[in-house]
Amino acid sequence: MSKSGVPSQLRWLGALVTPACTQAWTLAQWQTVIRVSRRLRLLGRLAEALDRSGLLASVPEGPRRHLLAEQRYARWRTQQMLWGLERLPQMLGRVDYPLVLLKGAAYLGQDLGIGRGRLPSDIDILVPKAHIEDAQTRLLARGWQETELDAHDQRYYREWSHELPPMRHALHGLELDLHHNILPPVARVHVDASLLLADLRPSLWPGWMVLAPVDQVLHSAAHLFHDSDVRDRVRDLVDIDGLLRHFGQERVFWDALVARARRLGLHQSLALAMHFCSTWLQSPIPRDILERSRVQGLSRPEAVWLIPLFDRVLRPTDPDATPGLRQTWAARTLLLRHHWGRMPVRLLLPHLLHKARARSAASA
Amino acid sequence: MLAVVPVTVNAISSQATPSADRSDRFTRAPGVQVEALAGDGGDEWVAFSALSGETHLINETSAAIVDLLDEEVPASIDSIVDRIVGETGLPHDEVRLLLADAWELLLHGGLIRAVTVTDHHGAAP
Amino acid sequence: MTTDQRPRPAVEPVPGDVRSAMSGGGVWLDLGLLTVRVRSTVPELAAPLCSVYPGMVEIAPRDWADLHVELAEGAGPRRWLRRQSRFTCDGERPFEPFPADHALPLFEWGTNWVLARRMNDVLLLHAGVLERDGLALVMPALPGSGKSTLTAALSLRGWRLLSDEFGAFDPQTNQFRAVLKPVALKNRSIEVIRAFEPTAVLGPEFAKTRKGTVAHLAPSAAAVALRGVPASPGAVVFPRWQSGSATQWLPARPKVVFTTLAFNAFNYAAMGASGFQAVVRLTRRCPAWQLIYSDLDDALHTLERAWPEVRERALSESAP
Repeated sequence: MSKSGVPSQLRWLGALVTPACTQAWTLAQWQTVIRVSRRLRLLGRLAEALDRSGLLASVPEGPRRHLLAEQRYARWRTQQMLWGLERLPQMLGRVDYPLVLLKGAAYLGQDLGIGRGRLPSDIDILVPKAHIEDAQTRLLARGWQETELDAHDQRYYREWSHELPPMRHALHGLELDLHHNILPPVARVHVDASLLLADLRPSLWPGWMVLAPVDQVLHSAAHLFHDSDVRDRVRDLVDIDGLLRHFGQERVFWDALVARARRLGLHQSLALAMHFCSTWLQSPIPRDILERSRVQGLSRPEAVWLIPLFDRVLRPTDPDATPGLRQTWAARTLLLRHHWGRMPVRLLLPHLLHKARARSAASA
Repeated sequence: MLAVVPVTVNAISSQATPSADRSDRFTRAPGVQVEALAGDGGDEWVAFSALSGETHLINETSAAIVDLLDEEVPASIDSIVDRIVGETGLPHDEVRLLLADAWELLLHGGLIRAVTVTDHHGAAP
Repeated sequence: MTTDQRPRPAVEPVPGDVRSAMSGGGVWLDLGLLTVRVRSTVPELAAPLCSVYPGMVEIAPRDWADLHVELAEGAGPRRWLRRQSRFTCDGERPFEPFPADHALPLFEWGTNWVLARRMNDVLLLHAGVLERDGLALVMPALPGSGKSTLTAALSLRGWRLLSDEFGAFDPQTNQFRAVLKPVALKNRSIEVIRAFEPTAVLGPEFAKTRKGTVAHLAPSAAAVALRGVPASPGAVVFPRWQSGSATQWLPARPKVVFTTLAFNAFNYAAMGASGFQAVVRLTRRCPAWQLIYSDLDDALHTLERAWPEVRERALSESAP
């Protein structure tokens, strides 16, 4: 039951790759695009794409103001992240383990187009698990502070999660998330971080590494398809599409990607990512690769069940419409799947109870 | 979201030692703008850092440090102390004390940049 | 291709028509700096909105709106029992639901919240701004200042209201632009303004909101007619209402002016170097005072008396 073709609500995404197509847009089309792209956190990306093509000045006044405003806002948030990243190695001091950029920071550190126009809310970096306590200790000594957490949440982070609780600094705007893996260790899918660390590449910034290109794709795919709330997450597909377009110029990349997905246990996420990237974003994926990834990643029952679910939830609703009941139920089903995949049942129930109690305490 | 000198800054500077490390050198950060608010200069200066995106109220000492540092050629704390002593005639110890207070804020606020002798450089945007 | 610039409607629409338009395609409000499209399935919004936005509510559709706001009924049982209204603007939901009959305050605060986060093409100070002789009087919003009461009073005595909340300063043109919304009065201020000007057009009173009792003063016809006309920087005044105090008019230090304008702006940090330079320019260009008062009439007279000096200063600033 696969849907063919680009959903009408997403045709405008072509403008991120070919900004000139916006010159034919009516004001009404601009109005919809501004609203939808803002909601999908892609408005800044669109602004930067238009600016780099020299087309921003010729956009009609109404939408142009919003593009400029968001470009300004995104640049500010991005600069905050860059500033934090500049100060970190100096605060950590001399260390003999790698410091790895993740997500938006990694894209900027490789000067990729998908790094521009983002709205970072935190700084994500990865260090080997054996050294994560050391990294944290050094940062605490330089003014970084841990978030206040109760005993349960502390345990959750330290034992069951792939990252430490976020850290804050009085003089820095963004939170710092220290990771030691890209997925939680107690998840049903367990990624071997040592494989990731064995294949790091240098970034354009001295002192910072990035994951191998195939691992960057898989990280993004895993994040999207294992996450709890997948609504309005088209941006992640756009990121994956950007990575595929940039790194996929060599055939060897594609073979390595499929093989690596199997090796890391992320073949289902890759299959789902490839499906949506090819049908919705027309990512230039070689046909045989698409086929191999699908065969490897999704059994027939899984394809029949999961693809329509994700389709329903990922597809953005019309700006004036409220999410339909079917989308809400689809989102709930995926939330259950997320929790099922995230931790063993014996740990899951107390955790959910704890979260529920915390939520009702907060709204009291 | 304006970063004014918080009380905790002094607590941070008293804990940290690396900025007092004599092997470190410093430059003025790129894109720094310093403006005097009052006509007579006085103690009312504001500084903007394009690097951190922050605005700071700074005093004369800090304004002097930013002014004396160069964007390209790094200088050490000692050399700045010497220059201020030379120009003002103030006692060496007093100048050192004034600078110690200002230094950490200027660094964290993105008005000056550390260029360490070791090969661990910061990220370039 | 330009954005739609229709003149405002000559005839005031009937609340019934507004209500049905809101449950369909919506109505449009031109606030000066931006336009807002409002849809609502909560019937309690229409009449209060019409009363506090006289001459501003448009039923005829526009091609473009900057903000698309929606007030929806409560979810599940709250659609019927202890009815609620919920505010959304393109996926953003800044507040928990309000009681349905508090739809207007919800609309006001929700729209302010969204506006402050999105309109980063201009510097948004948190201040009341009024115009006199083409020059802006900027009154930073500080807690306990009584700024809104003073803004309301000035707007009833020939000062043109640009905004009670947003000092929208365009760094490219160096002008203040209107974000024209009704002045929000709280608790005692409502009675004070009623006594000050019995003919003032006040919307309904909403008791037990998060800020106490709230009522809104409608902008004057002149303010509505001139909301597209900017004002040059004039003066910065820090009001402080102090019970029983004689009126005091004290010069304010540049450092205080700078930090208050920057600290108290909604988007100063996001505006980067442009925001920094704009606040430096305003600090240098505008004379600034603190106005401590208890008597409203006396405070107004003080401002009137000071204004010729402000005009002189502005003239000499712009002289070659």
